[in-house]
Amino acid sequence: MISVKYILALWKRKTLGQIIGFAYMVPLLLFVLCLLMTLLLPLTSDMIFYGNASYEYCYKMPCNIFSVYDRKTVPNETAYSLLHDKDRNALLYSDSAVVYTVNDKAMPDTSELRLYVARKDADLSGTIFTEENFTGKGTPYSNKYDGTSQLYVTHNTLKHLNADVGDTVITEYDSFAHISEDHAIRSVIAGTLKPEYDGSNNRSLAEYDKYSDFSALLTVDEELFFEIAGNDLSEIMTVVFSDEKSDFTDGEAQNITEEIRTDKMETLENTLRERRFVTKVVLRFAFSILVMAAALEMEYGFTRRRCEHDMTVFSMLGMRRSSVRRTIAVQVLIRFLISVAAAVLLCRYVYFRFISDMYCEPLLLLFIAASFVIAGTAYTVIRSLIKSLKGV
Amino acid sequence: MSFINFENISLTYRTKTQTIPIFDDLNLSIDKGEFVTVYGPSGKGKSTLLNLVSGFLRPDSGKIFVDGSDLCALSENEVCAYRNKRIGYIFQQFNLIYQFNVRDNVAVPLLLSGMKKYDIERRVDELLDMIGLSNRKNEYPRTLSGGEQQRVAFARAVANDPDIILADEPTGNLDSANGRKLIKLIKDLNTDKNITVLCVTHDARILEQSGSGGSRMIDIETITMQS
Repeated sequence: MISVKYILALWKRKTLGQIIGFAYMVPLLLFVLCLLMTLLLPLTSDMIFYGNASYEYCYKMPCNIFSVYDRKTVPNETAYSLLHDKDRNALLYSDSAVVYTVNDKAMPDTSELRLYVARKDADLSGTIFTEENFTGKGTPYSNKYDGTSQLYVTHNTLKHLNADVGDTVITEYDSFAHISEDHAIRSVIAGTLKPEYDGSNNRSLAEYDKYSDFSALLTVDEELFFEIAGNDLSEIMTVVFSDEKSDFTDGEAQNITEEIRTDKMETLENTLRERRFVTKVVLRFAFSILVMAAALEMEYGFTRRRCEHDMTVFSMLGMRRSSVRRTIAVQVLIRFLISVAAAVLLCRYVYFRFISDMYCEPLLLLFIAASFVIAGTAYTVIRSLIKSLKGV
Repeated sequence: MSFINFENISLTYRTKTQTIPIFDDLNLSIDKGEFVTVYGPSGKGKSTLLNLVSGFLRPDSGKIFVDGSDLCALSENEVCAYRNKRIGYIFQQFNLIYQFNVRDNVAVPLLLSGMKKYDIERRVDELLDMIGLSNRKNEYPRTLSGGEQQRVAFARAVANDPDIILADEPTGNLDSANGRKLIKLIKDLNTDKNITVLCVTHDARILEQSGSGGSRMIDIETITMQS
């Protein structure tokens, strides 16, 4: 009762002081949350992809950038110019067409593209995918795909399209594609992608290429997946998923284009096992929990010192030690929850506005986190030293 | 047996760099209803004496009996209950909770004792009437003068009708007029309700000038030397 009264009274008066008192926690938690999102979102999107994929085989094929086109309809030169185009942001794949865009920055001849394809047939078609191609948002549209398509894009793409997750978008194809009579696909923006660069050729739904500033993925009819990320790359890495092994033997894969060759072929099951999703998620959660626990402990120490006078008075008046501890703990918890809420709100803005499209080595993030811990420890040690010197 | 008995009390403060002996084999008896003033220079253990009586500190050796109960043998919960119900503490710095208004400050010991809300309200009104601050019960301590704050602290100290009032330099932060008023309040309580008062001060003349002085004056240096 007295604890509740005291905590409420604390907030009744000097609210600004209270807020400033733990304002340091918001950036700290913001950092932790951004770190958590940076670490977990790519994994999560990977897991979703692998979870939804019905393909048994996974092919990884490094190939030249000029290889990605509809060989039936688009000559090499066209594909080349297409990739040089001013258009930006996004790529999707359908039964018979690859639709992709490139960032504003022209892709130099020497550029490299990391491209991931999940598909069933061998035909590739290219088209330009621009803001103008998104002709509508949330309007009923009937076509042969009938709303089953999903589009995953980066936050930048969302901003560019002035769309949001859950919006229905209609993508129009240019004359290259010949996919459908109306040259359009209706798809729902199912989520945003946080790219992650892992420095290898491993396929990741949200894999980030350090040279790229966008990536996108579309599933059409829950069958086909395509992701593209990157510019300024001279090679692309194509990953093809297939139900049947025979669909993509080395020979057949090379038939798509001479530049494409099968580099590695394995079952999805093996790929999943290799990626050790669960272990990674658990480790990253554990790390974040550790940092949060350190923040809580720090705040507990601060609150205890701040309330020392009042708690001593309460003790003198007969409050039990456990109640004193509880009073402090509840205060800490309230401050912590408010900080978390503020950090979550800010994180939504900060992460997607500044961090999601920014490449950052996981090691660098860990280094920053370690710096926090070291700074905190140094602060505690120096404080104890000063205290003991004063004691002398 | 006296109401409060210190038997062979030894206590030493230890820091990382030094050891400060406070009491060595202290023996002191205080009777029920006695007004004892302990005076002497700072740092000689006056406040420590009060903290021993309140159970806030435990001696290194020896026993403290209050009304026949050995304080050192009480559990933590029992000591808390003892401090809440049988001890009233008045501090030099008032030690009010500055986030609480006057009414809530007075109600703290009552809330801690588990009294019902209605009874708390009744008792708080009664106490505020007694100290003459009924009209300021919703104000916060910072808006009160030093004398008024000390009166609030006094009301809080006597809220649970304690057996013992421990006053640590109660007039230290008050002018002489307010000091006199406070001492009179304590003295009246001592006389009317037979409450034992243990008051410590670095300058006993203040209490004497205030018209109190207590029924017994003890020089802290004498008892520590004796011990």
